[in-house]
Amino acid sequence: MDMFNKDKNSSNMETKRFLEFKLGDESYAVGLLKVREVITPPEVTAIPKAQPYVCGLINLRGTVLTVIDLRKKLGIRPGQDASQNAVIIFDLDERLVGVVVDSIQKVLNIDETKIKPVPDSDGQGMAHILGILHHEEKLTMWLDPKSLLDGSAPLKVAA
Amino acid sequence: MFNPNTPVLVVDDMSTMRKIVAKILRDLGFTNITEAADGNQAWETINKAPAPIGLIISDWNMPNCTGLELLKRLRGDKNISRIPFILVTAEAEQHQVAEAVKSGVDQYVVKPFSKDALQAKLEMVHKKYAAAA
Amino acid sequence: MDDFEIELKHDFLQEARELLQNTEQSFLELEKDPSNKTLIDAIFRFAHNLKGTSRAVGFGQIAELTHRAENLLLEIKQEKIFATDLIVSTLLLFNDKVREMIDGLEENLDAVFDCEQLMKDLDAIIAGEAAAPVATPAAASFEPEVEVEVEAKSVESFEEPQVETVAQAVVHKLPEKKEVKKEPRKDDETLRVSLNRLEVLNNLVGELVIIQSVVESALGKSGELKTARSLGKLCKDIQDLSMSLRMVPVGPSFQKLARIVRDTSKLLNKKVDLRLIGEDTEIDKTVAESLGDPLVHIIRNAIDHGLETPAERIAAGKPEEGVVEVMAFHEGNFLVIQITDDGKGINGSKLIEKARAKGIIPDSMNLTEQQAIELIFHAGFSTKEVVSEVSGRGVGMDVVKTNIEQLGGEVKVRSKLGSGSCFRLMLPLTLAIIDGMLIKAGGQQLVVPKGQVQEVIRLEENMITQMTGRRPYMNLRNTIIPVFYLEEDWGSVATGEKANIAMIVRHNDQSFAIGITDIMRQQQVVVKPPTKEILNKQGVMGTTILGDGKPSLIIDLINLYSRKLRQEMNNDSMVQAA
Repeated sequence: MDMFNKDKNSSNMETKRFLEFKLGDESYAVGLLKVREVITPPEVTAIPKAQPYVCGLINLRGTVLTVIDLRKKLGIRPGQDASQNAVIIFDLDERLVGVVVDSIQKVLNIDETKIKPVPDSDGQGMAHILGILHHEEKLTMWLDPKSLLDGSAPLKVAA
Repeated sequence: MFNPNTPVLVVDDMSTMRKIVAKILRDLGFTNITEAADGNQAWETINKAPAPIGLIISDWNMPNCTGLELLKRLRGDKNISRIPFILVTAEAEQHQVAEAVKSGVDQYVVKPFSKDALQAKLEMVHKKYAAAA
Repeated sequence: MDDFEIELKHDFLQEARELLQNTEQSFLELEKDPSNKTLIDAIFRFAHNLKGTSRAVGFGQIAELTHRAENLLLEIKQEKIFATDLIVSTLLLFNDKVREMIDGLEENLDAVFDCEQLMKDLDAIIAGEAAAPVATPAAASFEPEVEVEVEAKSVESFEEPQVETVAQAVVHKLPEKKEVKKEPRKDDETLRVSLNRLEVLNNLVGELVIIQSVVESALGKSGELKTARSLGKLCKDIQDLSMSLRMVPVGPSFQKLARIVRDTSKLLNKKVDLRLIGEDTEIDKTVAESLGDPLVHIIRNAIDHGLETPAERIAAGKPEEGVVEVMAFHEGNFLVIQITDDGKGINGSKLIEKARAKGIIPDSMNLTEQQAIELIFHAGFSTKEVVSEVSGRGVGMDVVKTNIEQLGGEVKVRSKLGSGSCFRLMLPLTLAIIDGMLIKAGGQQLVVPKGQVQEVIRLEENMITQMTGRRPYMNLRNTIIPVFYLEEDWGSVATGEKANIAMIVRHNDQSFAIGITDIMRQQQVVVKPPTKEILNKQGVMGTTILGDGKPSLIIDLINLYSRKLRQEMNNDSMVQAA
């Protein structure tokens, strides 16, 4: 937390920090403050008859939490190489949820002017995209983990 | 007036009252304030305090050991030099004040009291002790 | 008001609340022992302190009222007035009033209250006019919410603009939470810690124990087993301690009963000797908080329906004064509270008559004496012809039973006509730990509460009768019971493994068998809340972490299968009807 604060105070206040990761071949990002930690994929206890995107339960230092495969939930084909897979632990107001991703990319510092709103499309399931990050001539979708993980209906993001 | 560094002991079984008295004392400039919840606790504090207590402001009606009993115990102990003692009373006890005076109380205040009222009493007590010294 | 003043006022309210906890008890003792000097001194000091401090922090109304009570107590202290029942009743009303004022002031530091009548009553007693209090304490304590609300509204309407009055009226309609909102602050030796933080501590300690066992098995190989074992012992001690932090004595729940007994017995003109035993017995805080209402209900029932009037008792050759005993003690992992009265007992045949009249049981059904007595737990069953003012308020013993069962406990009753009744509440010591059975079904390891399993039997193929489209059943000691397979509901894969074992579960006189693959072992498990993703799945009681650090689901068999059984029976009857 100290590191965050220092950065916040010393650097330009108009910069936001994101964690970039890959789902399949696509890059996504989430606000860094929503991320509790990143762990290597642990062994999970299956939950019988659960939704297909629910991987199961894990024990994170005494707290039992659910791990979800966001790729299945969003209908994204997983990447070939599973060796870089990681689980991001999200802190969603009082509850923790783990999410399997293909790989962790890096932490992004994005100037607020480089965050563009989502183009107004009639595509469903854009509700959980908060914006589009423009950086290094790339575009990364900024996901809202809370709306994504609190909602239950499977959503489509991939174009 | 008393040196602001004088260690003061506030004795009352109601923590809210102790807080009020301590606040008034701080407003009057005192910096070293200790609290006790009854006469027994106060007695222990007086005997164990790192710096000798220089002023006691004690409630009258408390369980275990009342303010008056504390006063009698203090005045009866030759090893303890005379500590200025102010008794806090409610009107119901005023008729008993005579006994307190006989037992060696320096002043008494009727609660609730203002900052000015306590300051006036403190000045009187201080004068008395300064004259005796 | 500056910040310090506001802080002081809140400090005072908290301190006063703490003082009030003991005073009600003191007033009740005073009634029994009106010339107890130490007691009178203590009560006088309470009023004296309350008056002085409330005045000092600027709560003039409390000071005004308490001043009257202090004057009366001074007269009692100086033996000019004798503390009669009537006087104690008025003092109890004073106690209630101060509590009401403190509740009100906590919500609004400028709240104003109506204490005119009470002040007049107190003055009248001092002046030697023994005026009866307008409201009897008994009536006041039965419906305090309503009274508080009416009084508060009528006074505030003088003080506040209309709009705010409405808002405040709404606030006053939520009285229940006030009682638990603020715990009295204890002396310096204790510390208030949020339950949340205790839970985190328990989680971490649980994890410590697991890691220790890993370390122990690793170190054992390098000859350092002794060190590992002492670490293990230390970890276990820490775990026991961290679990015990949630435990509180049942005493405070008991203390309320004294007042209930007093008011109820006065209202009914019965004489009652209340005996409280085992007040120091400890129980999980969450359980303790849910204990109050069931206890109050049973006690009122015991006095109203159980105990006879003094005349009846004398005629029956019993002492005029009835005895109600409330005893708490530990038995295994349970807290037992026994409420025993020496009244007339429960009349089984009368209950049967009543149950038949109400259509609760068919006329042809024969019940044993014990089964008849247990009818009182049946929903919608009130034993008195006329709903009595005391116990019959639509809340029956069935609600008590449901409440206790929701806590994972049970209620039993024994009664002997003419000699009295005994209600036995068994409550789990803690909701945080249960005795579990680790089982296997459909390739999945699951935990079930051991307490739900009546017995375990080995299943043979020929024991089960299969019928197309119907629930299979088996014959267990001449009773036909349905057979379920846990694999169907909670297996992760259809393994086709044989169900070798059946757990027999009983609920509301209905037994059923649940087939599983294997029982691994029995162990105590720490119950953790289910995650959001499994919250709504049927039959999930919670999650836990097993000894190897892996999470597991805890399955509530009764919840899962009693519901399932009901659904299937409904479907069957529909099929038959069609």
